[in-house]
Amino acid sequence: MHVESRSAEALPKEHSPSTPFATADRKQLTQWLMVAGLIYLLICAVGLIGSGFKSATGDQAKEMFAFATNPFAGLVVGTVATALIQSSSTVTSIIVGLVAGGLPVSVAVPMVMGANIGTSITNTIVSLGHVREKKEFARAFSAATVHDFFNLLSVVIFLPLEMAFGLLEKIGSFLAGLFVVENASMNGLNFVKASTAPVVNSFKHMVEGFGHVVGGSLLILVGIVLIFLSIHYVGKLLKRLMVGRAKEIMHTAIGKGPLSGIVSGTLVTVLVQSSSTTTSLMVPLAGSGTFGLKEIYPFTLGANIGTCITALLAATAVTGNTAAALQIAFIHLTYNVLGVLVIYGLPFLRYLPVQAAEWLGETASKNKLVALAYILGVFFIVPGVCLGVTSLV
Amino acid sequence: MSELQRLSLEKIRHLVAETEGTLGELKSELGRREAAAQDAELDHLEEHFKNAELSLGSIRDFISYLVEQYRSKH
Repeated sequence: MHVESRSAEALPKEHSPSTPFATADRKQLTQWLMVAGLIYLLICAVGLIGSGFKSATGDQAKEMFAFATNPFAGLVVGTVATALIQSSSTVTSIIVGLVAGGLPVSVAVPMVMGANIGTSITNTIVSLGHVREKKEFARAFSAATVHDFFNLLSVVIFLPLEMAFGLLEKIGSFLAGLFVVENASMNGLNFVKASTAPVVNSFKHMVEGFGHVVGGSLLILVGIVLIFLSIHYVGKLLKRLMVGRAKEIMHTAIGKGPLSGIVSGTLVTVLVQSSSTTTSLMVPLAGSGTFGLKEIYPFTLGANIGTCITALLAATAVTGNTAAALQIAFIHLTYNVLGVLVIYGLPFLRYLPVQAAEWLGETASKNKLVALAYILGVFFIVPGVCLGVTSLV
Repeated sequence: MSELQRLSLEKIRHLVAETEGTLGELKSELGRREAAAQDAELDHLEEHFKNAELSLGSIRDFISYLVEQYRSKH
């Protein structure tokens, strides 16, 4: 007894199970387990949406979304849905689930583009917090809207190309083809799908009694709620867990040029699983004047790329049309990578978003109503009018 | 005749080289200080993460600011 006591005393303090270090360690482990559980829930939820949509629409998914076959309508749906939910990862994951359940990829592509636009409302709202200091507000509002202008320019370039040639659809199909074996989606080795199947099947059994349409709709609803909750809480946990790592990455990127900024923006977004977190983080950094707009711009571009990880992850385990689900997830990635390559790669396009954002920031700092009109106009009124017009045509 | 016009070619070359050297030093010092300021700002990343969270408070503050401004003008 005496010997045991002495041995315990001899242990270094930080290794003793009762020290604060051990408590912090245990807490961190619990948080990581929660992250793993929530990601599992996210994948299950996307599977639920796919199954629910397939069950509710039968073979009529295309007819159900006939209103969105007009690409502008799809773009507006993606923009408004993301602006309301405040998470592009949630919307793209839902789209992946819907595509797996039968939504045509061609209808989903503009929705994904719209999700990119809609997600930038978050950092724009965050920048409103700097309203009381004129110069600070100009810098913060510019830092937020540079993301909007980049995403708008990206749509202006790629939507016509998609409508004319199906460019993204073809690239997405090619990339998905590399991972899907004879339309079986790596069935033999897809352990993710196998591990989520029991949960998805349990939910399916639970709603069997409601019939195809109601049961399917219930699955979709549960799936949407679960996706929203899992992404929300994963984001919160990862922010806490990864702040140190994010700090290291950003420290490393300082003074290393735009490519390093893009890479670190991508990495930080992958770590926190949210592009709006990364882009919103740029707002106070730019608002204080320590970081210039041209310095934070590459970080926001990286955020667009990093956010694609969620939909890709979700697409690995869906049931139904797995090839199409992977295709839309790869389209999301391709669209964002090509956007950066084309807009940032071409010198005459590179700083257009920066110039537009600087002008808007200056204008909005002189007349704050411009900021309000901009947010309402870009994210709600213009999309709403477009949706109304397209439904009439 | 200005001061510059009286300088010899050699002297002008020397002054240009000296100015370029000083400019280079100033630029690198500026870069170093800017990077140091950015590093210091990133040390408060936890705080920035909190500030970067979307809250209805930002919208409320913004609207109340607009109302204050409107009232002060009318």
